[in-house]
Amino acid sequence: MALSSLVAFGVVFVGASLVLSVLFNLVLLACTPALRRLGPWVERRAAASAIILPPVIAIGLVAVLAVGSALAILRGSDHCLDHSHHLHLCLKHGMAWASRPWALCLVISLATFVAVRSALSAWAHWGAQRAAARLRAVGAPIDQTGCYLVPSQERFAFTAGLLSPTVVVSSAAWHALDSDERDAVLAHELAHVAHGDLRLRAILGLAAALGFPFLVNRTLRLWELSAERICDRRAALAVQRPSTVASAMLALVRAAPPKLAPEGAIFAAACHVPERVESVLREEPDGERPSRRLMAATVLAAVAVTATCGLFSEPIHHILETILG
Amino acid sequence: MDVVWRRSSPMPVRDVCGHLKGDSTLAYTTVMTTLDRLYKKGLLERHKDGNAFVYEAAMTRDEYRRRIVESTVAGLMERSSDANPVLAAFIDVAADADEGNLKRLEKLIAERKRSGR
Repeated sequence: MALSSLVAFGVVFVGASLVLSVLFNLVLLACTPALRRLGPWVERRAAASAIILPPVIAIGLVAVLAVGSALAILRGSDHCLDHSHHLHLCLKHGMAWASRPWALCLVISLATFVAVRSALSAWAHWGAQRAAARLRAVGAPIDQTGCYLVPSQERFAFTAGLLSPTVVVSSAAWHALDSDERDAVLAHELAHVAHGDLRLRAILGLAAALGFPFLVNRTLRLWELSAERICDRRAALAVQRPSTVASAMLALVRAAPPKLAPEGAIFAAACHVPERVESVLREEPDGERPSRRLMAATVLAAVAVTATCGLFSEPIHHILETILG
Repeated sequence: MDVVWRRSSPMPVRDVCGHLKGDSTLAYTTVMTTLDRLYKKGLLERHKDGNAFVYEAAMTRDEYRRRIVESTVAGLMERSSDANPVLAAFIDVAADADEGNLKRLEKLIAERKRSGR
């Protein structure tokens, strides 16, 4: 089997991933108001599922087709010779796909796009890791919290570093807040660390490269906003007063310096502040329990889809051959 | 830099070597090259005293730490992008404050604080 034999399976993967991405993200779009009522955990997990499941199910589909083809070849019941009217999704005869320019271009383009995006992401996160280490070295630990206070006239508080997330608060931000607001800011950032938000966002960013561009970008924004709202809720619980979290947000927005970063370059977009303040003041449910049920249902559905593909691998195989060939 | 910061007056290379002796056995030329590099980076100032240069810190230790932080944070922002954010901020430093909206939210918060929440 040559590497070029895999082009056909690559085409199936790309096509399935894109179609499922459109489907999942449109369903998410339609369900957003209902998910909002259930709480930010539900939104977060639904958004993550809409981004991650399409490529995962597509991999499952390709695996089922490839295993089916491998078994047929091993048993000597390879059907390819019976079909001469179109190309075959087969590990043995799939090489013919590589002679189709559109198929080869599609697979190579996506592989290059994903590779470049992964490399850029790795480079950016490596730099952020080093920057976090530098800030730890320059900063002073804040009590036993694992957070660092760094000298700066700019007002910021953030978590950076993929491998060892570090919470950093500038001295200007620290002095602009009262004692309870400081605790709220630290609790918010520590919640990001506890939930592994930066790591998850990096994984979602890579999975989003395999989805339908405009729709997955919108879903990523939804995931980011829900992640912020969850951390706001955790901070409100930690300080026992939601209004303290809200006033900390406004205190820092009031003191925001001139633009340093391009819009969207960091989690909490400016336009999210009013929504987050209102959300934390409403004290709406965080939706953790329904989100667990949603996750269980999603995993079951994904397993069911893959199992169905396995059971009906032969007809699916032929249908896909006919469509693509 | 620690040695230079500890002394408030300008120091010749030989004095810097003398203060470093306890820590390691660095050659005179190594220290001279290092001081020259720190001068070129703008961290030290120097002027001629006879045939030799004397060095002093161009900024205080606090000022130096502040500059490191601000350049590191600016670098982080540059690396971060819409498709690939590398940090999670409490509030976006790019926040555009809409005064009317902020006042409305402040009123909302004040009401909540009055009710004890």
